[in-house]
Amino acid sequence: MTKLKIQILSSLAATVLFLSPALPAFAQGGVGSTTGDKAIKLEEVKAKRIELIKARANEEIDRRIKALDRLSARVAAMKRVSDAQKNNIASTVATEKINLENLRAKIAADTDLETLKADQRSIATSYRVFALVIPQGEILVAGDRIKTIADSMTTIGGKLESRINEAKNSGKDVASLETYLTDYKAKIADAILKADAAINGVSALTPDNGSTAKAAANRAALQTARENIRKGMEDLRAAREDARKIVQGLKSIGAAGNASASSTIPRE
Amino acid sequence: MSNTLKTIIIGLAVIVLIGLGWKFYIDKNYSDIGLEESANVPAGVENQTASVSSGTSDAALDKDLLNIDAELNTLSSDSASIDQGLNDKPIPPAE
Repeated sequence: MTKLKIQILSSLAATVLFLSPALPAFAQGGVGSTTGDKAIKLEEVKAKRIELIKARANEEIDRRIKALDRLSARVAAMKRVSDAQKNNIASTVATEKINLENLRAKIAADTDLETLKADQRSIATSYRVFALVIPQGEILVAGDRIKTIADSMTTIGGKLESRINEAKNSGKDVASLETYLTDYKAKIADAILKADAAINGVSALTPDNGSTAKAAANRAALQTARENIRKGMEDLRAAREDARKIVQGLKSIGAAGNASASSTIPRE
Repeated sequence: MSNTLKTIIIGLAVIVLIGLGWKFYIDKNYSDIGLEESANVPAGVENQTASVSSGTSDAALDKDLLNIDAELNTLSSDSASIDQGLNDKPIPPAE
């Protein structure tokens, strides 16, 4: 009997210990809670909400700053856009980063819930990092790369032409290879035009600062430029296919090249 | 050799082994961090310079076309980054 009593008392003690952390909260919100207690609870809820919004805002700002840093490195590596275009986008990226850090500081200091919510909304609506700056920069990077590749392919085109002429002079039938070469050159020229159109189409875009009409115009310009990049890429891929056919054709007609060196020469 | 001396020697040996283990762990982790940092360099940053080999031999042309393929692949990555930017949706605001 005594053993049973000890077991029951032990179980009760364990239960009380287990529930003890919850007891004060239960007491606070229970029948005996006062208006003052409720006000304290509301303040606690508000403080938690503010904390949550600040955490989300920081997350959004971090994401944008990381994207801007990535873009900044890619912009620095561009070679074929003008210095003015390169400096313009580099300056925009740097300014956006400063603005976002200032906004982060403001948000950290916000104590009023409504002000905080407005500041959080402004990350997307006023700063336009993802809506304008990132796609604008990425289009410039892609346009620059198209022009760089086109330069290399133009040089390679000269070599292909030289090989075709050698084969022709030695009496080989190179008519189909000449057709491929003509198409190759046309595709490269078109790729450069498309890249220039894309670069020039987005270089001068500026943030809309809340103007719906300007936001729509910016969006349309970015979409057009994006389409030009896509067409420029298609041109280069088509030219690459022409080159493959020419090389294959030269090999099949037994037109061996004279030069054999193959060291890599970096192009500027 | 007394039991106390044996205990002290064994204790010292254990401390030395733990120390070596800790050093190995720290070295490995730092080298992993270094590798991760290098891996985080944005794709294509260093590739904005195309290259063309010298000569017009078949081998030189094949090499040129391989270089162009690599450049075109990087361009595809650039193109995907444009779409990522245009289609990005921000995290919904906390209400």
